[in-house]
Amino acid sequence: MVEAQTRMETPTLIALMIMAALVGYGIDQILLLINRSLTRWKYARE
Amino acid sequence: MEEIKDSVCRAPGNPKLGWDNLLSVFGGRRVLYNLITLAVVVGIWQFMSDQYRSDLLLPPPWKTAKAFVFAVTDVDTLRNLLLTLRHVATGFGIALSIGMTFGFLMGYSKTVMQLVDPVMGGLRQVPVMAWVPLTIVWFGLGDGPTVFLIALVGTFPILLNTIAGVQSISKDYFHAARTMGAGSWSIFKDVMVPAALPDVLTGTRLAVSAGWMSVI
Repeated sequence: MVEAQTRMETPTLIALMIMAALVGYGIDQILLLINRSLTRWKYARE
Repeated sequence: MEEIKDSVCRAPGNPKLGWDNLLSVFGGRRVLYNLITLAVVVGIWQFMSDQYRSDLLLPPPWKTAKAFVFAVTDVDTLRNLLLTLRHVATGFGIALSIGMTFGFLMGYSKTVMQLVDPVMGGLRQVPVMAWVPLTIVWFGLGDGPTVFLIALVGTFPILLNTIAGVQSISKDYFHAARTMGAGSWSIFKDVMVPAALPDVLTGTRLAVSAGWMSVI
């Protein structure tokens, strides 16, 4: 990402930002899933 | 007539008809609404990039999409991504063990809280970037500084949430467990951990995203 910034390639920079966002979102969703399976009692009514 | 049509559409014998069924084919309302938001954001982006007409300031979405496809198919990028994920996992593991250990101790014992809190509370306020030169001196150029920073950034959300989780447990649970003859280990295992778990997990979510953000 830093490389794209120094080469002034804004499209690549934004693309990598989106990639980082997607991967981060994916990790968060996985954690949320683990969260729900560990604390099932909390979501029993939903 | 409209009513009859509606009831025919919703009749159990005709599951393929009706707006709701059509929606559920594409993943339901949630996906539809997500797509609407995404379309609006991309639309505004396209409009703004048309105004500026500069790839340096704000490239149009399709150019970014092209770069995205290029980045996803690039072996170097993917290798770096995997490396980063490994760093985050390692740092998060360290953060989890430190944060939960101190969190449970500080939440449970006032003595430990008073002993450790000044140090933890102070360290928490130090800007992350200020650690960078020091960690390079300590761990050398390599994976060390990255992992250390992820662990550092992740420790405090887990720590604070664990403390909050343990402190919010009603004293009645402890009294009840003790009355029924539970030992310290049993109280920890069967009362403290399950009761504090939701807060700890909130902390882990914050910690992972903080670590992921700080490493990129």
